[in-house]
Amino acid sequence: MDAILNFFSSEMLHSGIRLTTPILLGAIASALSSRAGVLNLAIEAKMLVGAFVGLLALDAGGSTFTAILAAFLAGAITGGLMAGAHRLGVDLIVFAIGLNMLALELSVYLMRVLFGGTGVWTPEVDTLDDIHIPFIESIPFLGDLLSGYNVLVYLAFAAAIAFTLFFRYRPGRHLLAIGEAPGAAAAAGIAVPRYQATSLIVAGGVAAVGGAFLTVGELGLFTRGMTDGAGWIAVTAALLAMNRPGFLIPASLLFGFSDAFAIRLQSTTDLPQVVVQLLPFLATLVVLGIVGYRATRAAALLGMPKRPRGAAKRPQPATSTAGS
Amino acid sequence: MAELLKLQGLRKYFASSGVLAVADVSLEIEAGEVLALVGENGTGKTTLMNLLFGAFPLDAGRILIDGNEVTIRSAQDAIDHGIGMVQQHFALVPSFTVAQNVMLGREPLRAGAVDDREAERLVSELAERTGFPIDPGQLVASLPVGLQQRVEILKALAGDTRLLILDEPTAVLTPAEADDLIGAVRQLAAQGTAVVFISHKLPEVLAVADRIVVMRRGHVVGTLGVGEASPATIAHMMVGRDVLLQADIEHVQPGAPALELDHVSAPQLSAGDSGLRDVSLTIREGEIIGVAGVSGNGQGDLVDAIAALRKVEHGRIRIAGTEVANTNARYARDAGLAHIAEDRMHVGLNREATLEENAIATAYRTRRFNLAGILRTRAVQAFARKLIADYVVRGASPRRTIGNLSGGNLQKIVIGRELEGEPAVIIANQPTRGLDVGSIEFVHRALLDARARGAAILLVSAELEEIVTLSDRVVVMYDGTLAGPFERGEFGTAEIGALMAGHDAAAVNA
Repeated sequence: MDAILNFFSSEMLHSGIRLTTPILLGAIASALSSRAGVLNLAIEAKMLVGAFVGLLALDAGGSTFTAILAAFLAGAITGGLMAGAHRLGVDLIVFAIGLNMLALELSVYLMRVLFGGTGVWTPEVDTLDDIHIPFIESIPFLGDLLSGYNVLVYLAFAAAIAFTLFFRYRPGRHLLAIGEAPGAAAAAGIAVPRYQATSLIVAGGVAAVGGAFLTVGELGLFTRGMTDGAGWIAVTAALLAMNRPGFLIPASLLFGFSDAFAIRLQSTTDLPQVVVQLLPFLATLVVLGIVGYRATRAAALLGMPKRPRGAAKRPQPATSTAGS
Repeated sequence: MAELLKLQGLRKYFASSGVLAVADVSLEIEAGEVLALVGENGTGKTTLMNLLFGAFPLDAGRILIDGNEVTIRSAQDAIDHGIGMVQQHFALVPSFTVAQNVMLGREPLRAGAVDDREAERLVSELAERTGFPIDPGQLVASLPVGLQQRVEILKALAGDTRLLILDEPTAVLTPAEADDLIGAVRQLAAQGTAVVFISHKLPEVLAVADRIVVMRRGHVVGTLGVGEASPATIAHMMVGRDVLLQADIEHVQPGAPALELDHVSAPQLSAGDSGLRDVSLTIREGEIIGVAGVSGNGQGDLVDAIAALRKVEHGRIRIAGTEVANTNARYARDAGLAHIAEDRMHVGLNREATLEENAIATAYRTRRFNLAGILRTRAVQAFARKLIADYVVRGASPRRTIGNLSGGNLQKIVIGRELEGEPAVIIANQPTRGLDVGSIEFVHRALLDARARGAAILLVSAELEEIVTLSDRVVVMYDGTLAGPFERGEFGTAEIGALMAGHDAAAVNA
């Protein structure tokens, strides 16, 4: 019993919350895009861009604040590229695959060109300070859990809560309508393309801050592909939360803690490293299974037949637009 | 009275499809007037109204409201000018409530946040004032189609709407719902709202309209006051020739049983249909059996069971003597089945594919089109050309995709394909839904010709008129069971209507 309690130390919970942060920011970005009716699979790319640009700005002499801002802007520009592609009718899934590959290789290329041929770029910079909240800090256990993170951790959770509240306001309500029934939104006079572009740009910035958390917030170094699938896990977390902002935090925590759990296992047991490192991705697989199963169940509950015969319940248009 | 809206010389050409959809249309409408816009499919009615609603830019012409020329570039512009439109396809957000849908884009606010309670209050008020009662707190996804349409109408009326456009509003409604709608539209007009009512169902047009504007091929071919119009005159103007509204049916002596269902039961698969409960039915050669019923009472399951598209639990189904229950669609077709599917857009046809590909979709394995796995392109093309010629498919060419053909022409392709090769049994599921008078007549003739040469036909239709006109015998489906069959002359629309509503046969006859 003691052994188990020791295993789930407050230290592990603390690292779980830290590891949740980039996933949560990525999940917010993914959910925001999905709510605008766009499947955004370039979260990984945007996180990498944010991680690299953030560290670049920090190394160039900027403050941590400017570094994060720079990361946000770089991510927003990436999101803007996606929005532009969307406007031109480009298939965003293909485009996202391209962006992910481009971000991976371009960051390595720039790193080598700018800073020499090493695999790891470790500039002499100060990363973000941890914030120690007075009073709360001194509460046993809870103090460890709630205090002592850098500003981005608090910001990520605040952003998730703000996202929840967003739907009570008009733009949030319009976004919900756009994601679910773009035709209805457009018919109501809502500028669907503008909402979608804005969502993609903001999502890009938010995901990039998630990437900057890794470099500017924690490690102060950059290596090839250092986001290591966090963007994909973020997409999965958003799926698990059914893109509902209220569920984003618990869904992201699940993945953050499975990360922390894996790290803890590594340090306390003799399990082979490869097995342990598989754990977060195993969790992803299980979650995707659940999401897929739930989707079919939900469809059945809503009375949608599996075959498209239900489509005929509404009469087909007698006149096509062009043929009229 | 001065006219509320005046259209002068409107014109719209679609370069992508090469269609002059609206040639040169002028018309006006007064406040408090119901103007019916009628015409065959593909004559430009919907395009004309979409021009008015800002969906596409005008090529030529002027729109005047209260005598002032206006430019309408978007739906929002149209709404700002007091125009509301209910499209054929509903544009509703399923997970929103009625009130949230109606107020979408103009949500009332309290302290910056959306005030849903106020929205519900406003919507109940609007519903009461306009004569379209509804519970504003209901989720739209849970509403039946008739009520969803009501939500759409309320949405269109929510602004200061002075002109309401209804595009084929009754296509989705039961006859009783359609009557309600017509009453409500009249009431709306009495309050001073102008209504444009697009339809090609002539009886309801005569019931609802003050004036009837007939369009043909992008032109207005005539305007009739409701007093001077009759179904025959309108139909003549629409089609440009006389049309037989009532199919004249020759007597055919029925032959041997071609389709036999013997105590067939099947469980319900989805909320959309009811399954089958102990259904027995025999259709003989040269006979049309009409299946009446409110949709969702087992018609879909009946059709799917015969076409071997779904499993049955008990019972036997024989097509020309071959047992087909729980086999597969190909097996059933090989046994002699032709299936005119309910959903021609997604099931009956592949709109992304060419006419040739669609024409041979059910026969590409046969020796006629297939030589050891290689398509005989010349035979395929010849068949496609023959189909286009025999069934007068307008605007089609064998190697082009069929996506932008009108509903009537699409259905001709389906029927041309299905009736090829003299099938023993034909399932015609909603064969004329959404079609105009000319196309309906064509489909009816095709079915009657098939009957004359000895096909057994199962006709499923939501149009009671159609069933009563064409069928030799009628069965009524309710909650997965069959009532009947009733012989021709033994049934009237009233009795069938009562059976459709679930009254049992004994009570109806009494």
